[in-house]
Amino acid sequence: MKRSRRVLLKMMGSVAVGAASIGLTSADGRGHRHDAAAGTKGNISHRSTSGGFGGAPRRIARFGDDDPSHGGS
Amino acid sequence: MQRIACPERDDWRATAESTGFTFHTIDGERYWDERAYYAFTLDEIERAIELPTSEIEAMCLELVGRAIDDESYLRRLKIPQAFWDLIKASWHRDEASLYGRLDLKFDGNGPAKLLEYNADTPTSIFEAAVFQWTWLEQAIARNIIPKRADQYNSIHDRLIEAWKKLGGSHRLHLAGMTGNAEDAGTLAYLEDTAAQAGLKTTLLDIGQIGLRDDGQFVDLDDRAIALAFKLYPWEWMFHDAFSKNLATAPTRWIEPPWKAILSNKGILPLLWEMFPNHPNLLPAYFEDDPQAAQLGTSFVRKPIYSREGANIELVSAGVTLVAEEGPYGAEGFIRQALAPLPNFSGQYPVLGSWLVDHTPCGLSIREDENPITGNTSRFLPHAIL
Repeated sequence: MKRSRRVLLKMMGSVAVGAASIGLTSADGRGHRHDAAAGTKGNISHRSTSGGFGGAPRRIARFGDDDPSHGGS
Repeated sequence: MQRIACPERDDWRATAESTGFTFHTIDGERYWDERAYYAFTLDEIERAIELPTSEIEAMCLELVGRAIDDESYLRRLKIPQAFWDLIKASWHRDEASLYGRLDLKFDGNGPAKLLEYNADTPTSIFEAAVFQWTWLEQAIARNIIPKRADQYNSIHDRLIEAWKKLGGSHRLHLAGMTGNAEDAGTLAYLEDTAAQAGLKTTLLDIGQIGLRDDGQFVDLDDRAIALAFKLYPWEWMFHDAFSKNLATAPTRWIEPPWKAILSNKGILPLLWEMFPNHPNLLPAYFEDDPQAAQLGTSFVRKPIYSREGANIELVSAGVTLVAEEGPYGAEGFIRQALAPLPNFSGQYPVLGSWLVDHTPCGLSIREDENPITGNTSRFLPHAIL
């Protein structure tokens, strides 16, 4: 039916590409980008690891002692 | 439909890791499992899975249209009123959907039945689109499966085409819970397909999205986020501090806000109400609806909001057979007719039927010894024989 197709990856899994550039480490771990907290531009009213987006799972989806569930389903 | 035991490739772990599939084993347990595969006939794929998937998608879109025009639907789905206008506006602007996955019960006999729709943040797309295709090619080459074997799978190609269509000239930001390997892998794969479509991309953690004084969401370089893919459910977005800025910020989200309707298990009773006795639907009612008594003493109880099997309970003849614990249920429950998953060699498979840009295009299978599929259920490949 479709066996002649080829599934190629451009970025993911390349031996030459490290974990950071395929997204497997957080951007914080990549180092060079600035954060609003450093005050480089000063016009960002709010940035936080849980105060903007990302806090809900710890409040409404936490179960047990483990990290809250992930966003996928 | 058959479950066929087969030898595994002796190098599959190395192959997985070389393609970035690092979560093939989770907490020491197999997630990817190729010690068996599920085989289908082409007729089963086309008539019993692909066609119903298309039909269910059409019914779901009709339901969204109705819910947009009738707020009683949004109320029944327990969607917070503060976000009704956001949802309606995204529908009226015809904001595009990238993908979704229907979870189906199918045993090779009788019609597939919709168990639920993962409409907002489906995962397992990398393993469905790429790694099971790699398995097919290698399993044929190594005489593990017949040479004539094929696979229902054009997910990868369709993702690239969909990104070309909906990406425009915008940079695409992809955000999610990057500390989780499965979510990070899913984001990395979708980023890859977007890049192949010619989009410029930035991947960041959902918590790293900032808000500028001018009301725009921004990335870590203060660059305005015009187009964002989020692997983070709308019901969580609605609870976050930035939720009050969603309506005014110019960011276009994928999946769009109207998908908050379809990712809600309350659509199961609403679909049954709109399309009673449809062969691909199971009878379902909101738990507080007196009609729920029609299901008698055998049913599945699901929270309106729930993820990966949490807080789901199987009740047969008044006896709870299985009950999964979890944090959900505050918004209420639905009851769906009990449709036990088929048992193949002691395993209970659920079919995941993928849609990209509303088009059915692939299949994934999760199986478990437990009749409730959860986040530890294993992924098995499939073939058309």
